[in-house]
Amino acid sequence: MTTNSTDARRASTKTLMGMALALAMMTAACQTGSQYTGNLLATGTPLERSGFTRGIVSGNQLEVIEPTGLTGRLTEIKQIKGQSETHPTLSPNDEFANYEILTYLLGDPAGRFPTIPGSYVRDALKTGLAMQDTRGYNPYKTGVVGGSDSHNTGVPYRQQNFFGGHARNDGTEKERMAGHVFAGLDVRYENPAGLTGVWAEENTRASLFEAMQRKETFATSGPRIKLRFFAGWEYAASLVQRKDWVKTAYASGVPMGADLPAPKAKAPSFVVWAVKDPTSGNLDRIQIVKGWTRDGQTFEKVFDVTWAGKRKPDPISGKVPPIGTTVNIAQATYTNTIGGVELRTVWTDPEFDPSVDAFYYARVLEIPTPRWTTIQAKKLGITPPDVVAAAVQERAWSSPVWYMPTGEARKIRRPGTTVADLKQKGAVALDQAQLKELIVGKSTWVRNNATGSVFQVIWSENGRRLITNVDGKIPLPGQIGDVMHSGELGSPSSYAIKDGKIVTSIGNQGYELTVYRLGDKYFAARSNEFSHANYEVVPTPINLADPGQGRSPF
Amino acid sequence: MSFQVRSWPVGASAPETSTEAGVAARPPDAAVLAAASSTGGWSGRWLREPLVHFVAIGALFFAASQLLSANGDPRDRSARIALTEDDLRQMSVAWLAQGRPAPTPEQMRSLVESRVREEVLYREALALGLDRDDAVVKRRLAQKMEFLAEDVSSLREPAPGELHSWFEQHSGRFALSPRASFRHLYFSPDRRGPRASDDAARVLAALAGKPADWPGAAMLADPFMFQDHYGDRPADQLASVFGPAFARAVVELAPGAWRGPIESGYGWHLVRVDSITAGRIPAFEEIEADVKAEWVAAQRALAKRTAFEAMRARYDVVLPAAVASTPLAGLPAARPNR
Repeated sequence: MTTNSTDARRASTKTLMGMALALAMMTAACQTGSQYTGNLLATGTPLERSGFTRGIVSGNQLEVIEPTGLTGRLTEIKQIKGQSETHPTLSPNDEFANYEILTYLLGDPAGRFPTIPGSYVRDALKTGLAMQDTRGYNPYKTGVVGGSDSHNTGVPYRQQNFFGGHARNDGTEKERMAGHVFAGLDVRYENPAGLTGVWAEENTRASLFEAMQRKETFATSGPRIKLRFFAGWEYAASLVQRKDWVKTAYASGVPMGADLPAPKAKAPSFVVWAVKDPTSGNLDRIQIVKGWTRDGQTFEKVFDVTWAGKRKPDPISGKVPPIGTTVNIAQATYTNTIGGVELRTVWTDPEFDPSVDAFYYARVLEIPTPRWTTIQAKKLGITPPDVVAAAVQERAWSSPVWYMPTGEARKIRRPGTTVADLKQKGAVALDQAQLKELIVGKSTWVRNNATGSVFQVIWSENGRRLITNVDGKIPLPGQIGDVMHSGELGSPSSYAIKDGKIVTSIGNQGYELTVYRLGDKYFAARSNEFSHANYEVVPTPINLADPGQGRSPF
Repeated sequence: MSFQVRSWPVGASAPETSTEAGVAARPPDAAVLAAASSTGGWSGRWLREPLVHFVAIGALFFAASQLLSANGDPRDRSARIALTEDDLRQMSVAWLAQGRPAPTPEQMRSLVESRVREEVLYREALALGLDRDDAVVKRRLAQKMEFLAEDVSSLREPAPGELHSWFEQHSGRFALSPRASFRHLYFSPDRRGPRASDDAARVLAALAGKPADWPGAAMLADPFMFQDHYGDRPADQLASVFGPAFARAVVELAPGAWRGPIESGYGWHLVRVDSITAGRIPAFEEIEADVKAEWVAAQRALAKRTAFEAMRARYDVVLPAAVASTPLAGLPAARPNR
């Protein structure tokens, strides 16, 4: 897409260039990829152990370009094998996370299963923040692009014209709709390619390349949605009402892909703007996704910042209700009688903490439109498949903007407890026998000191472990920590005591715990929390109503 | 070396093989090669024929490899890796081409060592037959054959007049879409909901008799997110901005007055066209370079097809009876080779 402006904005702002070009480039890059994990980081190997894994994005092994940014500068967030933004179990409070999820390893290798933690972009961005805070570097400072991974010479990026991504191997229309299996993959889970938008001064190779270098890019799920995103400290709330707002947004802030400059106000403000694809669905809403870190743990929140129509946010959750739908599944149609053409606003982070590392990115959603499977089912006169959604909300994602506190700002925060702190105070790690004595066949109440949340762990005699209570709630899948921990089903994880460590897992992400005794207190450090010892064994609480943020117990 | 090294002269025929798809190859017959040696006395048309070039170059490769293989015992040769001064110069040029200072003697030694390493591993792999039944090797060699066919086709310059008559036969693919210069007023469904179209019609009536640049016009409409005036834009570009239906409608408008309402992908518009440049097929002289590029591409495709058809004609394809009786499109999909 080329919005080649001849007007005065050209000199001072950047116009959208080379959407198609970037698409072609990403497609080419995908063809050279040798490995496919279905997701972002190779099989979710924790960074700690693997050294710095390079991002492997759906077959697209990204180049290591800058020595300090150890993953790719840009990461493919959407392609024909689904989106890599996030997964519902990683983002249980993001009701739009369940979109084009494809959990699958290329070629369906025998005896190996895909791993969700460590496989998605938002997760990587959060891990990067934790590393920035605890170690002083962030290898996961990536922008986003959309691509195809199409193995055809043509790329299907429209629901109305989806013809598979592996040429003949994806089968004919009839075969696809019959759940044709290609290399272990049910073709119905494939979906149209993503597109990359590049904000550049002009439509030249050099200008486009520089824009990609500075991550001034966004990705769409296929439609040609246009998305702008800026961050600064001095944006007036009325800015977007002005005709030349883009010029001001550049002049007094930074665009997507950049770092926020040093604070000049109590909280940063963000300018977002999106326009629909004139040949696709109207827009539902723009959201800003925020990630932050504290004591080696990471957190996220999705804010609805502007939306179409007269909907009111829920007074308790703050969430804007769903837009509704015009999709007629049997006829595979929709109408643009709901939603908006253009959305824009200035949003200020109401929960900004200048002492913690954070990132922000924008996500814009279309109204629901029929998925290709629904369209082709109508064409064939069959019922749409029930393995995939009948309608989807197409979307676009901006590259993030990062906030990094100064050394002084970091000191404002109450420091968390690290293993080093404990040792300095004379704490001693429990040995094999002491660990057994502490937990095996016992139930322990533990507090996550980073969040204040309290939970109960039952350790069985035969090496199984169950979390039964988090702040008084029976844990739902995904509510504890990063991934599903199916305490509500009563299905435990296994644990073992080995070399003075508790070896266990959440979901299928393995980690270890070291327990220290300091006086009469016990503290535990999780191996994936960057040398912090966040967990303290506490007496059985008297009441559990103290609300905290649900976050990983050990 | 603990394993048996088998090698046979380069260019000699390998043991008979049949591919996994069941395509049985029969050795090339002499007819095609003979055609190469008899081209000398033929007309210029034959000299320009890509297939002839293709075969001639093939024959040269064949002859060269025969010569090389006649040069001593192949086993001795396979145990010797000789780099010439030209090879070294080429390596150092490749190094410089990456924008680095000239290689130091130490770097040169390391370049040589990695070249030797590659050659050793390559030869050992060949000796073990690792090139056979390898999808990547097979694909690469097939690709090289296609490049060969493409390369020979680009050797030819069009004969005088050839380009022009080719252009006349294919002029449709050089058609320029119509272009429009216009200004527009936007009526936003975000602000007006379903009234947008009626509002636009009312404003059209209000604009009647007003001069083209009447400043009050903009006040009656909504701000548009892109431009208010588009100068000399081709219809296909307008389609990507506003949607195809709007682009088709605008280039049909009579210039000189506000018209509409016309619907785009964003809402309703009143449009005042300044000028329309009709779509046309340009004269040959305007686009000779483009025609040549297209012609070369067409020649390349033709050469590739002809060369392949000639090669294909030398093979019998044997398929299971059940498959042979149905079209190939009915074949079950195989797992990918990657």
